[in-house]
Amino acid sequence: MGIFKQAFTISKEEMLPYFYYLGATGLVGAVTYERIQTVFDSPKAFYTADAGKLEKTGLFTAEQITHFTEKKKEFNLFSEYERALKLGIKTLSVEDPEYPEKLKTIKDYAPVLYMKGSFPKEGVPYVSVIGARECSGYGSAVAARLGELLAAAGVAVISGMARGIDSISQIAALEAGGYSLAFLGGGVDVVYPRESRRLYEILSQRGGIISEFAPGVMPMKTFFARRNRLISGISDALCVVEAKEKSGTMITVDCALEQGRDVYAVPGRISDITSFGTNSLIRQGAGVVADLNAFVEEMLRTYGGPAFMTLTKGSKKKEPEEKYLENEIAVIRLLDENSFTADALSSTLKMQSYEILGLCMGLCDKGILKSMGAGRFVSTEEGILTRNKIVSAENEDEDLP
Amino acid sequence: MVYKVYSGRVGGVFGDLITVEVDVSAGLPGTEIIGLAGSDVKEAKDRVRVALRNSGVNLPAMRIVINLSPADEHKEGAGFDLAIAAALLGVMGKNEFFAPEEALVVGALSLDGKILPVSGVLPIVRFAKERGFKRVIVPKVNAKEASLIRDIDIIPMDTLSDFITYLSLPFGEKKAAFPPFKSDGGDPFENTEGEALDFSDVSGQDTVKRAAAIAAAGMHHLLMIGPPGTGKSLIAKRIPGILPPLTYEECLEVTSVYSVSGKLNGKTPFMTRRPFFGPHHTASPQAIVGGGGDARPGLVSLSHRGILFLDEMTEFKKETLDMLRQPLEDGEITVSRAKKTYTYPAKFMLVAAMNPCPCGYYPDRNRCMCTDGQVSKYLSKISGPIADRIDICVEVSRMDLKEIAGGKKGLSSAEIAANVARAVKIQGNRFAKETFKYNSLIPSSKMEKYVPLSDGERDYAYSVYESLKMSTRAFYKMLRVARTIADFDGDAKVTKKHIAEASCYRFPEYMGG
Repeated sequence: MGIFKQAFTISKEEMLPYFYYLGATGLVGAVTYERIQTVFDSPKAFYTADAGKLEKTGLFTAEQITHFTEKKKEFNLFSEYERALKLGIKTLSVEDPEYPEKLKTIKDYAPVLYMKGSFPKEGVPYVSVIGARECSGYGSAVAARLGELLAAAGVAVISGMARGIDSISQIAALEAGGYSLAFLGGGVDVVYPRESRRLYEILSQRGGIISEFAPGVMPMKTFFARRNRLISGISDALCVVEAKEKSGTMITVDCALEQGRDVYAVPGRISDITSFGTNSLIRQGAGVVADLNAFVEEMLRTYGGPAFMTLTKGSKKKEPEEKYLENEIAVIRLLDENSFTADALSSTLKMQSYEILGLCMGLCDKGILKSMGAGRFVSTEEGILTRNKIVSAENEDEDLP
Repeated sequence: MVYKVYSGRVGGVFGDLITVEVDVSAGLPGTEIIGLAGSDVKEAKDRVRVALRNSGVNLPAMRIVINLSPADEHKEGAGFDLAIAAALLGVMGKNEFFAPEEALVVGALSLDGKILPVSGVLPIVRFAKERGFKRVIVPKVNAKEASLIRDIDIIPMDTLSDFITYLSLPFGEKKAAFPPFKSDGGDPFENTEGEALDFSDVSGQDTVKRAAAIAAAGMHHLLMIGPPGTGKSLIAKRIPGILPPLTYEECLEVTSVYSVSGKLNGKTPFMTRRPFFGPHHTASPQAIVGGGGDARPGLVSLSHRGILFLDEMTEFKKETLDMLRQPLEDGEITVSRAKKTYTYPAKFMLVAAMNPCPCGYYPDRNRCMCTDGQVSKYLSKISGPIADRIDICVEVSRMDLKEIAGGKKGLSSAEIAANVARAVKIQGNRFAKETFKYNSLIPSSKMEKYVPLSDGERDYAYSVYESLKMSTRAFYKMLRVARTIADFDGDAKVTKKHIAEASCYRFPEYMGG
């Protein structure tokens, strides 16, 4: 990475619109950027150069030159830049001190980034939590818990705002009052997928949204693969929750390995296709996330500054031990990460359907279950913990002579 | 010389008066029917002429003008044949004892003088009674249907020559020779032959059965979600069996619709059972809501006071489903065609069944491999307004084989029906002064009055509202269902357990509820 010769002869504010243009052309990657620097003194000089001058440099193909001049014609430099500023979108050039250090060092860095929101405070570890769009109940439970724990420990949770694992972990992180950062595959003003609108709003207030694509650019398949290198690039470590064998997540993992980032994976059942990717990562030597608390502590120890040496105990409120009725215990023993309908319990419980519904609603009040409507329920994190407690207590009883 | 006879026709499901006027004058011999008559009405002149001749009456070789008034409305059908014949006979001086202003005449004629049944007799007779007519002459086949209207003389006629005899008899002898029709089968409502499907045939699925029963008790629209082959249709088909029997008023409404669509015959002269229709998902919008050249009632009207079952609801065209919006909202449907606009009743209970996703396993992500896009596209077909109208939503899950083999029988239809009937009665008393009769129709402005909650219950309901992030509409739906559950269980007050159960039947979150 070099810098323009004149970088500091004009003020930063004056130069930013030209950087904005540079990114908006969509043609300037790390290589082209450095080529431009060899010829032009500043992005402004590049902008003002006409077709003849560009051709003389011998750096660009005829097609590229037409594209640059076309773009210039349809592009009103200052009004576009002003509009972006009004939307709260900052332009970050790679020469900007605010530009994340870790992203400067990757091979194909993005010369210009557009950003909404803000970066976390200095010294915070960055851990990305990524995974499949179509995740299982297990995957979404783990992602939510992981996002929450990382956020509570003060770690920045990085992801791509995609459906499934990405957005679940980010929502959990923000709800726990933590910080999260999303990299998009389109302009930062384009909410994609649409159902992530709420997450998007919160991110632009309490987190950050970054893209190398200019505002207004619609997301495209190839863009997602490109932005994945930024997710891994900014992260200290990458945690894969669920992934199919060939997926965008695995592209991110490849980027991470190339960039020398640590990769962790959450083991899954060998029969689920969303486990094939993660389990094969483990076989290849990725870190195993067997205990979420331990994982978070490891993250703090390894990447956190002295301020993060110990796990900042979250505001886990200790409630008095709940007492459960016999029937309730029977239900709790049957819980797993998958949702279930009340009818599924009827053969075990030998109760009337409405009694089972009542029982389940009672457990909802106690925080064990969550009602999903249409007679379907899903266990909460606490439900699983309670089940583990009950089952292990019973095993101890059996061990007694 | 002019002679007038009254006849009737139906517009929508309501009867309407048609005056048949006949004038005979000197001039070129010939017969003309005027008064915006359709071609089937125009052909009556030949039918009537031949039928009269075959019954021993020859029309004079004079100029005959037949006018059907009101003259500015289009008329169709063969139902005026008999009235035209009566007016012709009158103009020839053969009706001295008829008193046409007291009678209304309907019926079609065949060439040999037989009187043929027509559709729409019930609404016409109903209208005749409201207008103060004393007797109605109807085809014999339609007599039973017409006899649903009480306190008006129904005089069945089999042949034109009988009718001629009837017309010529002095008043004193008429009643003895042609007694008004009396239903021979006693109370028509005892007529409930035919095998009803029983709920005890369905093993397991207790929650679904209970939800169906509650839906039936409060006339709540019901949606069953589940993979194919789990018994959704089986359950839907058994719901008519647990609904309360039709009341007299309801029977009139239902029979009227069937009458105008020509679906009644000698075997089923009127509807004593609640209708059940399960159209295939390829059914055209016209078939469902009504239409065609003469704006006939569609399935939504034919299932009035009964059940419209949409199996594989997501497979229906979105336009077709959206057309259900008006009937679901207003309980009636307005069908407009080039010449007519009719409003048909359409107060049906919607029972819908669907898969949760193209493969059927969603939201069980261990088995469902549909992409989110596929799922949301699949579910988006029943978005918004239709979903809003569905009060009770329940999942039908695959049964444990053990349970099916165990033959665990649930309640029988008769037992459930008794509970439903009790709930309906409670609602009837509660809403005696209202225009609606079921909990599902309580307007939100009257929720406080009809679903009063004590402080404890209200706090609980609000906590459910908060924790499930409900919309206000969903909240009211929950309270209406809770009211019905309480009625169904015979509890006077809505308590926490009813609210809790009702909240389980709400639209599932994964479908945007």
